[in-house]
Amino acid sequence: MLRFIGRRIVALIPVVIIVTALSFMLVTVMPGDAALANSGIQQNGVSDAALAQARAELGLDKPPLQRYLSWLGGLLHGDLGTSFRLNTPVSHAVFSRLPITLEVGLLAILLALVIGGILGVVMALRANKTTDVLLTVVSFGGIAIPPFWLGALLVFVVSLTWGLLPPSGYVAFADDPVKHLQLLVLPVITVAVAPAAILARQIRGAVLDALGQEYTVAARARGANRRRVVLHHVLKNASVPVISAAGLQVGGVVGGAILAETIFTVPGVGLLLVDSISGRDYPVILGLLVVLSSLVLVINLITDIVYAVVDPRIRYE
Amino acid sequence: MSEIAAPVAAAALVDDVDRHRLWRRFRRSRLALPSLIVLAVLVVVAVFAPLVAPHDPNAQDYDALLAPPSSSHWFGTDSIGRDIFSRVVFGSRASLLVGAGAVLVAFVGGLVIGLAAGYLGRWADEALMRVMDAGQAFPGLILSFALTAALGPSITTVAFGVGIVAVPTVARVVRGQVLVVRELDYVSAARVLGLRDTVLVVRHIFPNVVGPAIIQGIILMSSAILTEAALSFLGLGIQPPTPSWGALMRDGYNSLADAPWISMSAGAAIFLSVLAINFVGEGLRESVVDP
Repeated sequence: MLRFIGRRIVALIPVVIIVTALSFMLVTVMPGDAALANSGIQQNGVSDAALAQARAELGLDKPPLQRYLSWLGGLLHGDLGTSFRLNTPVSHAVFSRLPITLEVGLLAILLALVIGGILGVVMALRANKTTDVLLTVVSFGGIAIPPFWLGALLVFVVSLTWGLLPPSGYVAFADDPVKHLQLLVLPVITVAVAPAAILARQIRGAVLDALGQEYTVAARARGANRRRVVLHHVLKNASVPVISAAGLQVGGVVGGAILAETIFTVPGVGLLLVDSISGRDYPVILGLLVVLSSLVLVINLITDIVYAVVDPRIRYE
Repeated sequence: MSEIAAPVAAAALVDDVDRHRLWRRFRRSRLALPSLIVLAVLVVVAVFAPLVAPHDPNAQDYDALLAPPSSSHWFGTDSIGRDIFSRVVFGSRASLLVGAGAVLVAFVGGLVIGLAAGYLGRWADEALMRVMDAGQAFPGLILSFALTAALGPSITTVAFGVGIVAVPTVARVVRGQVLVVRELDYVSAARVLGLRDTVLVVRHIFPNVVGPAIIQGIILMSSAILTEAALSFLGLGIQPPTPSWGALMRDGYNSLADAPWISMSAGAAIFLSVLAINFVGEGLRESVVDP
């Protein structure tokens, strides 16, 4: 098992290096002059000398490869540079907001698993009957609904029409736990719907697969009743592929969280990214690209390890 | 060359039979055919937008600001009196163009990289697939944001920024298929006949991997339309005054309490198109996979 984990971590190293290089390239080719945008000076009223000095201060006068390597050196020490816009270290800007996004994302994944699990199991047990067909259409709808539209609908119906929940905003848990959770309800639902629909379809497949296996038939033949067979044999075995299916939803959940944060003005990394792109804050964009993709890689790694623990055949592949 | 032409002609014949069977199965699936019709209507509306739309999408009617749906403005108007129905009709052009462009980018990129990785194997496979791994590590939406920010917001660049994100997915499907096909007898036979690598890949491997890649492409089109809408909704995609569904959603969100019809019309347009594309893709996938 340790060898398996070690091998997976080693295999991750080149991928992480490519991620940093791709991110750096991407940010380097972004248009607009960061020196102009971030020293607060207007193009017309600035002398070439002042501009050159601003560039030198930001380190923009050096060749890209040299900048990449020095940035990579800083990254190894946990230094992601300094935000142009906020004048704080990028790592502070990113990691102070990451917990908020993680909370939304984690709650959304859990909600998606619960909804997707219930729908998927019901669909599989009623396969090809009316219930299954209806829920299949519903799950396709869940995949097709634009998250920002869903968010707008929720605000319109739940907040503006019924007045049940506040439409947007954020309060720290420590300040007001009830209000904190109330404000997270709509964003979490918005993020959870698409992964719930995708998981429902995959769980339906996994349960159907387990229902057709010999151990299920054998258990039924031994005289175990249907409820017991489903609970003890089918669901237990069907939950194995669901682990990796849920892991694969993480990237999508991060994307959904960005949209939800913008709609509901939740100050997580999504709002930070959108603000940084509009404000041409390249160090923060770069930091977010690297941190969020590393997060996805780490979660995929954990998913693989859990999968290998549950299903030992994986380790020998 | 004639020895090789005969089996190719035979393969074409088999393809024809397959195509008939495929179409029959496709029609049987309850939602695929109606969805295909919805898509066809959508394409016609986009192409003939000036004939379909009752108003100029940018014309302002000062007598009807934020007017609710009526006989003169079917989907109502926005805060500067523009006709929402006409804007939805014209907005379909941006969505479909970005969707189709993104699929083209993902398809061509994924096909080339997948074929190269699968056929060349060894270090080329290793290097290409590690780059694909890295590409897939980025949450798709975030990579599209960054790419569009880097390339500038226009229909072409948004299509590119959305499409390139899907390249690893297509490449992976194609590579997997190549690994299976390259071991088949007829490919070994063609190799023994002394065919050049490029001919082998183009004539014998490509036709066998293009089917799964096309199905993947159709499903990608729906997520491309969603991503484009998300970008424009956040103001990072197609810029006003060009009407796009995402930008309409943005306008609609700002006046949600006063004029919910703006948001509803644009959202419904996105929702229905994506739903139709997914049903068509699923119908195709089932007709290929099912016996």
